[in-house]
Amino acid sequence: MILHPAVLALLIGSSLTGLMLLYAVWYGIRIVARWDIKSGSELQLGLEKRTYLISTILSYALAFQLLSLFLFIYTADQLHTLFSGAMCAAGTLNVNSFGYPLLIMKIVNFLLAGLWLIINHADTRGYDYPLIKIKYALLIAIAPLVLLETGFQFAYFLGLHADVITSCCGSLFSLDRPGIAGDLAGLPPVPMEALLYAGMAATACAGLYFQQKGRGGYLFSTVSFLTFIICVVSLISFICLYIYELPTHHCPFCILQKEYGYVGYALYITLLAGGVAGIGTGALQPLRAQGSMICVIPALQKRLTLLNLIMYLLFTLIVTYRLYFSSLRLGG
Amino acid sequence: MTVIELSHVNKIFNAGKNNQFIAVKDVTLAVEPGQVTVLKGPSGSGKTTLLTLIGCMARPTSGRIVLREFGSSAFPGIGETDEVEITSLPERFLTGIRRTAFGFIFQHFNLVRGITVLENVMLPAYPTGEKQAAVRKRAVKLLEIFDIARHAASRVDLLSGGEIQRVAIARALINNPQVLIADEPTAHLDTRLSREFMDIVGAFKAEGKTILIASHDPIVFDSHLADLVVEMRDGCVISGGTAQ
Repeated sequence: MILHPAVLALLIGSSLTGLMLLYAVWYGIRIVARWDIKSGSELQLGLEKRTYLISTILSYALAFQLLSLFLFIYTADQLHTLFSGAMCAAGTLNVNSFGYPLLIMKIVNFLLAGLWLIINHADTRGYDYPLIKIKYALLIAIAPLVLLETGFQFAYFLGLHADVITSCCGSLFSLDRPGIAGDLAGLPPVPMEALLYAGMAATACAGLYFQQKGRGGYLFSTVSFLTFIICVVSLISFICLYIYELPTHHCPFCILQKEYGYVGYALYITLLAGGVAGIGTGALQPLRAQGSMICVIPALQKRLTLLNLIMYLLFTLIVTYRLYFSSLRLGG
Repeated sequence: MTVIELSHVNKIFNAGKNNQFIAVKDVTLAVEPGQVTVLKGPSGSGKTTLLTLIGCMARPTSGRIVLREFGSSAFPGIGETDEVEITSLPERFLTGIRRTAFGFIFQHFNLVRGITVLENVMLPAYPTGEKQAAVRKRAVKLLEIFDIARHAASRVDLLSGGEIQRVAIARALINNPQVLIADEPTAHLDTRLSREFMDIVGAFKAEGKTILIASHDPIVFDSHLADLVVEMRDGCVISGGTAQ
């Protein structure tokens, strides 16, 4: 294990998040099984009091979960100098077999944590706990994934040894390499560019329609999620090429480095924030009519839609700027 | 229709510990709108605890309390005529109800020393976001009603006991609550001031306000104004529903 401050911060933070989740899940199970708002029993009132504490604890724990994705990527990028062959986070993640599964788990948990925070935000604005069981059922589903991620994180960091020779992005995201990374890198740039802008335009149309009419929430959420996927694929397929101004370098991690103005952080933050807001809008759609949520969710959905549109617009502007001012021209 | 309904309310402090104390035990009670209800009993009988539970300042250990037609919309989604079960409400909504539905007169009046009479009266209205000029106008009017407008600019530290009591009443009314809660309001007053207080209660009753008073003062519970006297001892209601 490498005793880097960021590694220790991640391990301690994940351990605390895991413990808080275990505590919350214990009460979550009781809430899902025993919650009865019509009852005035000591158990019910105790659960009602306890849910404020748990909700507050989890808000902080899952907010850390969101931040930890970026701290993890930053740490992986910082550590690459310690491994022979590593040029960026791609190489650090490839040092042992836990790196990439851990990254995928962190992204999945980022989306789920964001979703839980949105549902929790809506629930705490209702006076009659309309989403309480849904919220804790979702938490019970998320908790094993977060705990698994914590386990993976320990396994990954404990398995980091400075004498390892690793492969990096030049090899991992090469057109010749079989697998998903190679396939994504091999996608044709020009159709992908068209698809990216079409996806953004479709999201904007669906979002504005939903904002104006209050209808089409599922459509907007679906289009927004598909656009999120298109953006991730586009990053590897062609956006990185324009940023590096190299027609063969598809690495999605080098853009996090100083040489490229840390533009990767701006791209990932806008993309993930927009993605979570879009998914959250759809997740809230079936809950609009539940109790006091009728006064809360429509307004919250509008704010989330606006957030999604702003974040995706920023993403598109950054990408367009990089494409326009890049010395590289593809497909011309 | 009852305005406040308590159903099997219990309040236990330090539950499950050696020093467990049952302050309120299985209280079921209905308070009618526009009436004066007096909680009567010796010290330690649970009167104050019951008032704090009704006034959303504490939560019961078990049991439910329902408010009906509490006058103003305390938070979005609740209309003026809707009923709301207050014991399950999240804290953010309780503050709205405390602010708009109830006016509190505390045993020791709890005025803030060092600031003026007018500022004390205006204080509960600050969080509502209402324009300061409108609140000031209402506060001055209340001080005029209670004949203490001449002390508006004085610090409360300089007032007599009777004047302090009147300021406390004016403060309780600043947000125009539907329900007035008074905890031992005559405990520190002489007979003349106590009778004056009951005259003020009579005026509120005539306006249609619901009044809840905890007191062991005969001037209060033997008053012709009391519509319902609920006698408490050791946290239990031992007699109640007796029309005076």
